[in-house]
Amino acid sequence: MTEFYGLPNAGEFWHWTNALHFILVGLAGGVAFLAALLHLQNAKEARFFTLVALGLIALDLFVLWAESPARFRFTHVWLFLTFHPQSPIWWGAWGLALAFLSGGLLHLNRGPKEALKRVFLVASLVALAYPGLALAVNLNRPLWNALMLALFSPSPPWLWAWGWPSSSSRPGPGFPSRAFWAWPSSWPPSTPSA
Amino acid sequence: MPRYAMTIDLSLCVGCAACAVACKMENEVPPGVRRLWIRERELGIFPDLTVEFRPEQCLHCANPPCVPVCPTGASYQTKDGLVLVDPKKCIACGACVAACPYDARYLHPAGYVDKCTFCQHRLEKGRLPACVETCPTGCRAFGDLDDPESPVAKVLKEAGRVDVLRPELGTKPKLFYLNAPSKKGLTRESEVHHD
Repeated sequence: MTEFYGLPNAGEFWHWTNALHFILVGLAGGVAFLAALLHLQNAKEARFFTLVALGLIALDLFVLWAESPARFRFTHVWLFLTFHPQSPIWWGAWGLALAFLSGGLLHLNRGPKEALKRVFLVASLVALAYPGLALAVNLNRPLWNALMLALFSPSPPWLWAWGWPSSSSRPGPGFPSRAFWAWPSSWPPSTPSA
Repeated sequence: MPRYAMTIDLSLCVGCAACAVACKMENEVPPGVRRLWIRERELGIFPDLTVEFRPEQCLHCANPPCVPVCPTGASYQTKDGLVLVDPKKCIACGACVAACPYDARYLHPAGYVDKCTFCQHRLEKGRLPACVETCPTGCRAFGDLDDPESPVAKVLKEAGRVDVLRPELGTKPKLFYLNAPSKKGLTRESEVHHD
């Protein structure tokens, strides 16, 4: 028999909204990564996929804000005023913020393009890796990890599944995986002459 | 700097929950959540029966898994070994709640993570934590681990048996359980007999 004088704090602390957040981050990071590759090849589809990535990041940030118990305390500013590289969430915050900023500037044709393309690529990779990092640190919750990894891990394959069938349907906008197939012949990316 | 630690002598604890009540009152812990709770377990069958009353709370680990996962530095460790939360920096992301293997943290309804502080506000005034001060059987001791004259160092030296929760995790808790009633040490859920 096990009894408690008051239960410990073993209740659910992350809910379905967190699962949605991780999946949205995976999708946003994946689309942003593909958009960055298309930008580096100066492909015309880059703008479309950048817009999709921006929309997914904005949606994800809204979900995060809406489900946060601290949504009206505005303490999230500390994510960007402190340096905590040991924390996956710190990386996720910077990855999403920089991907949104660089992707937004690229979409608006503002700023140093070549530098922004590389920032967009790196930031999208950080965002893509963040859900896995966030779950990997919780070694003391193996069941939770297994459940969340099962939810999260499909998101990159979803992207592949989206891109693969359209590989034979060029030209067309629904073709993110083209960035990969065209990559070897287009590297290094050409730098526009002044 | 002191290295604060606490001991609970399980052979003296009667499970009266006075510590839990004192903690609630001292720290104004809201209903539905708690910084301290007591686990009661019966092991075996009469006449070979053991009952364990085990108060649990934040263990103020020397190697706390909850601190590095915090993205804003709200969760931190003081020089005297206390693991604390700064509510002004907490974004209530729950990463530390997830990382704590002892379920010691909770989301305060005001929108930040809260937990036992070893009553730091009382320590600053030279007083003992509320749970230690209120315990009617004197099963709790508190003090500086590095001071051989401190109550905590003395009882640790004299204890027949010393255990910590989940030592295999390498968190190095600074809440020590003394003289567990079972010869095998602290009880585990898998050992409990369910009727």
